Amino acid sequence: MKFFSKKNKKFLWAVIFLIIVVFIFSRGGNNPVKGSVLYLTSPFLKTFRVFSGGTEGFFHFLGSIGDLKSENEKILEENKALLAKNALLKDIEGENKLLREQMELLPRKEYELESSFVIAQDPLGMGNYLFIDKGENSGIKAGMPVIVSKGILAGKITEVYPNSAKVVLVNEKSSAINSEIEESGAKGIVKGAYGLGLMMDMISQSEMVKEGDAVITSGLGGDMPRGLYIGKIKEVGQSADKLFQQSTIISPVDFSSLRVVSVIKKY
Amino acid sequence: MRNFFFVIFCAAVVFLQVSSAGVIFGSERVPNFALALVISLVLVLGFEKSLAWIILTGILVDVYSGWIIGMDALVMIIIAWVVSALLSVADIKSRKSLFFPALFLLSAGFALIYDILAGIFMHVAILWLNIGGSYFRVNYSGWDYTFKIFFTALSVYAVYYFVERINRLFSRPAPAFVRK
Repeated sequence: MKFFSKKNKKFLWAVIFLIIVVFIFSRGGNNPVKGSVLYLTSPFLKTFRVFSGGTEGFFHFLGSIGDLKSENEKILEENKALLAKNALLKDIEGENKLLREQMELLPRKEYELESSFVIAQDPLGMGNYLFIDKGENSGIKAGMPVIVSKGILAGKITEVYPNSAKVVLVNEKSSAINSEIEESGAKGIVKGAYGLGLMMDMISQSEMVKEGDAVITSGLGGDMPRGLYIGKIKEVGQSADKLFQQSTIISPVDFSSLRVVSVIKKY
Repeated sequence: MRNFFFVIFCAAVVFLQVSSAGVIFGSERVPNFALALVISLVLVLGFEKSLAWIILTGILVDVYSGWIIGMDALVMIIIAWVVSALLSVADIKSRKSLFFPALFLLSAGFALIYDILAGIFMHVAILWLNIGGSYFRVNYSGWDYTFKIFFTALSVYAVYYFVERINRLFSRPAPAFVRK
């Protein structure tokens, strides 16, 4: 068999061409190309995503039928606890309002939000980022936090194109968010754990961390508002060098089925 | 006309993978429809005739991935070439009873190879091209990954069917009255 056959020559030329393309675009030249393709295809992508809503999680559901009973019991328990907590919070809210009025404090600021549709997600299936259909033209900038349901943190804007933007989700390995445990005030950093969920790291050994505690953004560093909900503590352990505590976090957000998110433009 | 249909079909497969597959299958189990398309194109058209469609599909996937444009296309071209080399040794298309199980195994195997190659290329890009970004990590063990491979292998039947149909539709000789 001749190595330099017509087929192999075509293969080699294609490889050389693509290596050149990779080299050119690795120097930051991919924004106009990506921006234009995203602009042209976003209406189709939006349509595909909206229509897929009806079949949401169908295949995932097939694989998890066995877990449904225990999950249902757990959710019912959680629901009862949340009802009690909600009643308590309503009482505290009234008290807080009264105290603010008496102390002549300004009311808490509302976020300036920009709602947008999710048009695409990681095609390699790691689920660590999304593309949304709003970008520079809607006032979106890199670094802005992205939330769902009025206050649950989903991620952060990393790349902005004229009519679309890339959101790196909180479960991405490279994301690091200054966070705090609501109950104890313990500070730490929330990171992604290789697509396996979330992890809170760098918690001081002297802090009390319990299963079920709520984790929120601490607002340290100024890149994110304080108080955005991240998730709740599942397991508590030690870092490899035993200097800090680590814990896994369960996020209430199902990142694979997100269809609408809000970008916090001002806080 | 055939080229127009192939462009539409390649784009539709990529759109399905980036926009709907995560919602339908769950984000950790997204089947690699693009790979199913590459395998089907090589089986139906051969490596040389499918080269342009493979590059188009790869570049479209790259636009929606966090990768540098061209990286996925490179992985796909290598896989297409290996599939074509395998087909020249073992002609699975002519063995009707073996074709479907062989297609399933071929797709499952290459879905795994795709992720391994993608991981290697990402490491090389980060180290040699001095770009920022996190390493591409796949959790090869566990049910999610098994399902992902299984769904990819299943999806190749549907994709192969459409590629075959499009090709057959436009390969037919024109009716006699048209030729006259």
